[in-house]
Amino acid sequence: MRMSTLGSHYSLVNQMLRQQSEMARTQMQVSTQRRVLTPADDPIAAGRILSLETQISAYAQYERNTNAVQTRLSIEEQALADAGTVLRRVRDLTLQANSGALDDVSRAAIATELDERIRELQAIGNRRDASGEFLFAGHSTGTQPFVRTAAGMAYAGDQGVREVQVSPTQSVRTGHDGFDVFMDVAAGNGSFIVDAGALNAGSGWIAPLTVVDEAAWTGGSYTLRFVDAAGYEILDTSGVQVATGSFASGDAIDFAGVRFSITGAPAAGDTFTIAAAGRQDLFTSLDRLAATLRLPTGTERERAHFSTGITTSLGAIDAGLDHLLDVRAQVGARLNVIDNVNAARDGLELELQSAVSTLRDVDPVEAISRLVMQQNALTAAQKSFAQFSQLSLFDYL
Amino acid sequence: MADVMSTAVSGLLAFQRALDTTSQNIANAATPGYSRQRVELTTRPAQPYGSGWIGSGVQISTVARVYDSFLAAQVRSSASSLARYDTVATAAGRLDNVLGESSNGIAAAFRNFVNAFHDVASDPSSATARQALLSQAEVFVAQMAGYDSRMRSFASDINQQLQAGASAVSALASSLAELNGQITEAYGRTGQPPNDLLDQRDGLIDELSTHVDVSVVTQDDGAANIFIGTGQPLVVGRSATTLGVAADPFDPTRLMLAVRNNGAAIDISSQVSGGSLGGLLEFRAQILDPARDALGRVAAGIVEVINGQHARGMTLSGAMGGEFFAIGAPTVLASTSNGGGATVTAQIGAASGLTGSDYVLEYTGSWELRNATSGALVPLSGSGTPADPFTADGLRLVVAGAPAMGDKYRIEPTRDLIDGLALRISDPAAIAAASPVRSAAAAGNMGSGELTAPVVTDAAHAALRSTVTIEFTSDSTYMVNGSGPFTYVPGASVDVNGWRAQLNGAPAAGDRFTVADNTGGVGDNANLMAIIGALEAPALGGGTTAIADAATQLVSRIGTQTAQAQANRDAFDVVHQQDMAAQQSVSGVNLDEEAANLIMLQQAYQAAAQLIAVAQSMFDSLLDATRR
Repeated sequence: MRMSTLGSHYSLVNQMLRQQSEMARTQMQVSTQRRVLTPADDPIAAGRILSLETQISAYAQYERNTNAVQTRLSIEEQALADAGTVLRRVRDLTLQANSGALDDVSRAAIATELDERIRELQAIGNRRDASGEFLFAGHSTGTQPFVRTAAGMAYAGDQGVREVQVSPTQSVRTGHDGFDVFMDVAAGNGSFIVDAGALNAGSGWIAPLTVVDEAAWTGGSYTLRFVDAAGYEILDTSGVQVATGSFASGDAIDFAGVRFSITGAPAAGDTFTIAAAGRQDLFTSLDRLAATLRLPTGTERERAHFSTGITTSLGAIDAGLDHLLDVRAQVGARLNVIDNVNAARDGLELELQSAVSTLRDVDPVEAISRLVMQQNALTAAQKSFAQFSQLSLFDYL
Repeated sequence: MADVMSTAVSGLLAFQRALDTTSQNIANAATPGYSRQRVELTTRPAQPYGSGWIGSGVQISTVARVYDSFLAAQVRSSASSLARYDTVATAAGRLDNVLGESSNGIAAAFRNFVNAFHDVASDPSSATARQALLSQAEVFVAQMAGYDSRMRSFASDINQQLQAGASAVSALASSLAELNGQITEAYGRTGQPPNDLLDQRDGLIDELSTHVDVSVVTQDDGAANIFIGTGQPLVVGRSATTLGVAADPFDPTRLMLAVRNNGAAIDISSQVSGGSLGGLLEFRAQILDPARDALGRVAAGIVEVINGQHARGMTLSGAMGGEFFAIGAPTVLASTSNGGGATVTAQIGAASGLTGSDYVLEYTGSWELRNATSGALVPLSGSGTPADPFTADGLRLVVAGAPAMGDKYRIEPTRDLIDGLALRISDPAAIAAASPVRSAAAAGNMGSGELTAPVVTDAAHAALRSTVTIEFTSDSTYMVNGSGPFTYVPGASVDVNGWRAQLNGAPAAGDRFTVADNTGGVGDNANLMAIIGALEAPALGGGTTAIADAATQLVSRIGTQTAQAQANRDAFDVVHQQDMAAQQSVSGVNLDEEAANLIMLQQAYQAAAQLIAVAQSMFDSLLDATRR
């Protein structure tokens, strides 16, 4: 093809310009370490990168969320542990008070310490989390949940529990409400409660033992009345006799699937009640214990009342300890979920990061060798341009 | 002798002209658009002698321009395409940079905003987290408004560039008309081609082809008739048409290309596809408008989702949430040629129905809605009254007043929505994080039944926050506020007073549950969790596309379009350079060639001069012979 002087000049210059712009691009890739500089460089990869980065950012958020939940649950766990310690101390005090060797004054001293423990438990119920929210107030985190009123301890919070998302598919409850922890505790041994009649004249006291037949225990209310010192009858709520039996002190009595014992010497006409266990809050249980400890124990009859009260209270304390353990187990399970989520997320985040890196980042070896190649090509173009420009027939005229 | 002399002189004259032309070629070796010239030599008519025909020298038939009109047309065509794609690629690249940045682009803005909701959800009563959410919301609004204003400024840039391009085309047209006159006149006077004027005209046409696609038809008298686009005459002989801009019949802020004909402006935008003007029109219609529509659609989705759920929540002070964002309304533009007095107002009915298209509502005896791009009829339901508006594709249209036959309204559902995007709340406490109602089991319930947290379904219900008691009359029946009984099955929904909750577990007779006002519920995040869930749910495209995906799609679509335009530009850059090289190989000056010609002509000239010396000596010999 015939070449025109201007045309070949332009094409050589254009060639160099193109090589320079390619070199500038490669240089940019090397200096930013990125292959995709704008979405137009690779629209499909750019779309993937954006959605991967959205996921990475979401996972970073989930990490922040789990940290917040973890802090709150750890604080709750500590509070539950402290509440357990209080209850165990109360249990020790109760056993000490029940030893029989104590006089009324010593028991009153124990009752005073018990009052202190109750206040400690109340303070635990009113604990705040790291951001100053009441831990056990449900959603009403600005309201002090446990307030003592004339009628006893009142719960001023609600039963809301908030959830926080810790992964795209999982949310975790960030705590327990105070109703759940301190108020909604199974009474008695969890199945049935027993009590002695207030007007009992004898020295018999009743202790609940266990449920021997789950199916037979229907959960009704019954009254056991002593016909004489050696025999009793059991009446239902309508006063209809449903069972009778002969009495021996301390022997187990099985009735309707439950087992209990009456110890001492009940008088004819003394009554004991057996009923389905309801719910009783820990504070009421402890208040009753304190009241029991202040009862006089001068007579047989008084001692029977005292023993029944202590037995009931010990049952309530054990139920409370079980309940707190239950709640702690739930907290533990949640913390465990968070650990699992954290582990899974760490792995996934790494994968996502490496996916983004594969899509977006430049292969430095490839890019630098490309840069060197382009540099060589440009140098060659420049040299050949200089050589080519020197060729002219006019030089020989 | 006389013959030798005159033959020699004809040679001297011819070679002198040829040397003149060679020097002109050498002098213009670097002049863009110059076509090399060549002296066409022919023999002069021979004289008859008895012994035969004796030649009588050389003559110049013409000074020709070495030029190929086919190659020239190819160069113009590729120049038009190159200018078009270069314009599109440059403009799209700017848009791509604005929206696509992964660290501060639209997708990142949305992400950070959603994360701020999470932070409040983790600690709902924290004033710091709430303030951070508001700040992030403000940043989000500002970022959206920033994109919107950038895109608006693109649109007004395009208006200015169209105006400037049109006046450049008009100036070229009038120069071309003038040159046509000079060329016709020069032809007529000499019968020879005025090469330099022709080069000048070709240069102007080349320049014109970078603005708009052109076709050239050369007339016998040397004039060139020039047509732009699909055949709109721009220059005919000595008369030129003025290309200008005129407002879109619907939108006065949108300029179109137009020619003036008898005072009336005729819109020729649809006929122009090449050159930088074609590129501008293409970028506006294919990339900019859809991008603005898509961004508006994303905003509409976010606002609908957040406002809808926020209104169902309770603020820190116990009030109902209300609106979180304010947003603009769809644009309705009446045609300037409308004769009737009807007014049309549009509202977004459901963001998930929005398509991102524009529509034209026309009165043809009844109202017809058509897709503005495809022209497809969109079925309308409703009657168009405020009580029963027309609904179609997520829009609600209300018409009032009397339309005339053929009246048209253009509806741009999402293009200008972001103009009205603003934060409605400024008090961190006004973020409705909590649910307005909460459930509780009564103390002393014997069963294991549970009532889930109530979910608000109707925020406007008058008795929403009234206390409702659910009491089990047996383990399988329950009363709600004393009415009933209802049969209990685990998982049963209770729908009362604008909320819904589920009963689970095994309740016992006498168990009670209450749903009551969430007074003091400052630690509740239920409503935020609902907002977060809704933001991640597919809220757009008829329930197929999540908001984050819509934002990503917008970015990748612009990326794809930019990549396409860049690929086209690079391709046409190569094509254009090849066409130029082809043309240069025919018309361009080669200095070595000219040097060779110079040597040849110089030698020929010297030889012709020698002939004169020979003639002189022949004449002297004759004189010497006759002197004796």
